[in-house]
Amino acid sequence: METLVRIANLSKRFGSFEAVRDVSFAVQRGQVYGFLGQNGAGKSTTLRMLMTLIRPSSGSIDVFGLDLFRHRREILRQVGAVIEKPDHYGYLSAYENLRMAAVLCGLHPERKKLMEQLAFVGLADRYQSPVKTFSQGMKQRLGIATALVHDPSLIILDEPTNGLDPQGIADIRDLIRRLSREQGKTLIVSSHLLSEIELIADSLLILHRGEKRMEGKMQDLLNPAETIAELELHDRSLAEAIFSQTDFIRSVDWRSDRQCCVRLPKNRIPDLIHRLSEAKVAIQAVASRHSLEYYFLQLTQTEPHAGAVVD
Amino acid sequence: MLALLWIELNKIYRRPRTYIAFGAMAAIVWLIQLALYFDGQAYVDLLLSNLSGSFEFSDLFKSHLLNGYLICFVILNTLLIQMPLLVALVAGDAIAGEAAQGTLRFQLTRPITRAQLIGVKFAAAVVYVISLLLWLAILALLGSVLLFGINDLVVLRSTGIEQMQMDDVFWRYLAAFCFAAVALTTVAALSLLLSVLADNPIGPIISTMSVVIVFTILSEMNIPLYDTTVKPWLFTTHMVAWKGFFYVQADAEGTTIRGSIENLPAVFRSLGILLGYIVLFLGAAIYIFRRKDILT
Repeated sequence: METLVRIANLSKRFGSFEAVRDVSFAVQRGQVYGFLGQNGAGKSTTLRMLMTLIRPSSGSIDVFGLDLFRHRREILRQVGAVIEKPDHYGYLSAYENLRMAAVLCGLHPERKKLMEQLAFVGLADRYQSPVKTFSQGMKQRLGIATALVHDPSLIILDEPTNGLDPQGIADIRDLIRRLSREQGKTLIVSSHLLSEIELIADSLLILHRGEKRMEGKMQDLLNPAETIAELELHDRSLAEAIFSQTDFIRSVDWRSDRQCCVRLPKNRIPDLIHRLSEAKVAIQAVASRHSLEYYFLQLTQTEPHAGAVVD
Repeated sequence: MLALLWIELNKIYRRPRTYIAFGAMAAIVWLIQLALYFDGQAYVDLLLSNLSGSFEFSDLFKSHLLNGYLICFVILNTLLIQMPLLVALVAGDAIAGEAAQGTLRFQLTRPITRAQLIGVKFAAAVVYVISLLLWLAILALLGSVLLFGINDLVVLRSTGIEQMQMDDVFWRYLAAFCFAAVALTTVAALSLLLSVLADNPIGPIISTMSVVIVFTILSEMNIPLYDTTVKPWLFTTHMVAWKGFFYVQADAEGTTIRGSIENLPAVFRSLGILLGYIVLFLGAAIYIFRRKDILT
């Protein structure tokens, strides 16, 4: 597989504050690459460096095999991005904003081509409306259209579902899938929403406080046959003894003297409960936890809580 | 580059607030013209009262004094001091305004260089300056000529009066407007430089006006120490050099020499200094902007 983006030992300091520290990763062609992290984890700073909005303090960024800062214009001709939130000229129409984006990319597209792109993001019927009259979801979709106007092979979307209602989130998710599956685009998508990343990404990078905590393929992280059982028990030593004798348990993570997370095949939860009951280990609660959320919380050492929103 | 310039001009001229400047100028010019139309003779008497001790003026001279050319001169004298504010409103907004509304990211994530972007925004500011001056020319020169007609132009100076024949005036106005374009472009370049340093347009607009006001005060102050050390290097000292086109040479009999300019080298020196400032401000803006982290 061809490596499209290779970032090595990237760091960014703002005075004494180190926003990104020694981060390295690679994105392969055709992937949807998820960027996950709490607010302030360094996702946007990394993506801003990838779009040359910010200069790194150290490290290197190669895109399409070229050094980003030496071949900036050449590279950006093939990259489309929406960084943080899509901001447009509110007094201009959707069509005019899109045309402006095309001209900035050195293109002079025909009206038909621009209208097709507006139709792709579901804005063809509002092409003449001033953008200031658009909802947040429509602005997001227009942002994606402006990122796609020059038919880039790499698309960077920073928090594309921010501020959207459930339908808007579903629309953006659908758009990302279509770009990946139907057009073979490579996408880097950042989010602080675990569920979003899980639904769209092939690979994942978790950032925490400016550092890379984990990088891997989603399928390796989310083994569909496995789950995390969160148990609340009374007798830790007895439970540990049972766990050590149970061959289907993959790992145990004690979060306190009474709480632990056990990774095991989904269909073996009843077996585990049965064994603990037989050994007279009182079980106060059992919950099946989402494995990505478990991973994320483990890596960022945040107390687990309900829901998929990290922050 | 032309396509990028078209975008910038589209942004400037599609914004309703751009036309506030044009409206304000029209209001001031029309107020001056209206006042002089109804009470012009009183204004002429007031003008001549300071010189009445040393000169004798015939009634014919007085009746010809109030004409379109003189009124345009009065308007330019008044408005060219206020116009830097109108220029700063647009040039100060060029980068900082885009940063504030987040559209700077929209532009800088495209395959154009930052130097190109500054160049295009500067060019758009120059076009805006020229359009303001064209508007002023239509209102002040054409409007006054149509309302009051033309005649010889008499300009009062502290040292006496300058008189130009009516067919020796129009080119002077053309030259003065061209010089004013360079002077206001200097203000635009300063405002663009300050805009690069900020993420909100209010700062650069106020800073530009503060610099212009402080420098103008220094330029006007009669302190001998500043006359040779500070004043010659302030761009505000040279912004008013357009008046040089209306100061003429006279022959031995005291008759004005047609087409003459009293001190042409001084006008060119002022022009050179203003162009130097433009290069300096623009160069600094590009240097800083190329190294700036875009955090908005």
